[in-house]
Amino acid sequence: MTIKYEYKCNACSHDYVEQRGNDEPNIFFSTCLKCNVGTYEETGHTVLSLEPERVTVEYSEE
Amino acid sequence: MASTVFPLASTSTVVPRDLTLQQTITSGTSITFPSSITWAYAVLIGGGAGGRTTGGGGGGGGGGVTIGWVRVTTSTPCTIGAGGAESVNGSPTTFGGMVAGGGGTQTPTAGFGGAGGGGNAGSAGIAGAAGFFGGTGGAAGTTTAAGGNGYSGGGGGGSTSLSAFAGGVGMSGGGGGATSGTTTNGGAGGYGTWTGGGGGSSVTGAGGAGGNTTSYTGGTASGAAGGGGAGTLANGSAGGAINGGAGGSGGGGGGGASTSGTGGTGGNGCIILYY
Repeated sequence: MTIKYEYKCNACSHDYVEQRGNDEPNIFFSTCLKCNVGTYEETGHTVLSLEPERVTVEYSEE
Repeated sequence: MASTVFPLASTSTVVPRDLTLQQTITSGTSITFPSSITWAYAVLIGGGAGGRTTGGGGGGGGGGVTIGWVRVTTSTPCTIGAGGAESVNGSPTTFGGMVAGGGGTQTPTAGFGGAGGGGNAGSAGIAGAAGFFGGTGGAAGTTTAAGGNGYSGGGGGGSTSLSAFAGGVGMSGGGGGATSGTTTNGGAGGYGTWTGGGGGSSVTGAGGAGGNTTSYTGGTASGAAGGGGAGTLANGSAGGAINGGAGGSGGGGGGGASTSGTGGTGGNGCIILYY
């Protein structure tokens, strides 16, 4: 599953996005990449794609 | 978000003028941009190669690196290259007409910019690949020499009697060679500006450490296996007694395996976007 995580700086409102798998760790920042003062807060996330569903095929030999 | 500082932050390195890191992509098949953005400055990192197989396995090469401007739309396709499993090359990362090849482990050689894999015990390493925009890859290390430096590092040579040789230095670091000699050590993975090579293994000595990158550290060798190379986004994992360490996220090469072990998996690729 691929998820787009959106973050916004609480000082200058810089928007930063990480697009990663749901089992991958996020990439940490201590301060905003743009103003170097504020910190990022998650503002939302969107599921972009799901893993293919597992399909079970049942059959019998006649 | 909190904790450590990201390596590509505008405050810690010099980024392209007036640009700010806006997106880090490690998964998915397309990237969304604001409609006001029509060009982006992209750093593409291919997947790292897996460390080579048991009994004196060389380290995997770091994933290739390609950097440049890309024309983008609100939804621009991409491919994120997966890291290779044991003895398998990394996969390429593509975006906007640019390609960053995967790291190499053994034949076939690495893709655009991918570093070469270290040689198994008694074997030469693999040469690094030329970059997407040019630049010559480092020469393969022989059984008595380290891998050459270049746009991508060549894999270090392996030996049956000597301590093995280190991978070459480049944008991507070559894998270290392996050895089967008595109490001899595996070669260290090569330093890469963006992706480090995996360390080579030994049989009765110590494995080689994974190569570092500008901002992250390769995995140490705690036993006979090689440590994983650092990636663009994370440290490499330490090598175990027999199993190679995994390469760090963002193209680190996997560490080579010792007797009965498994080579470390290469780190997945990524795309870093400034605008």
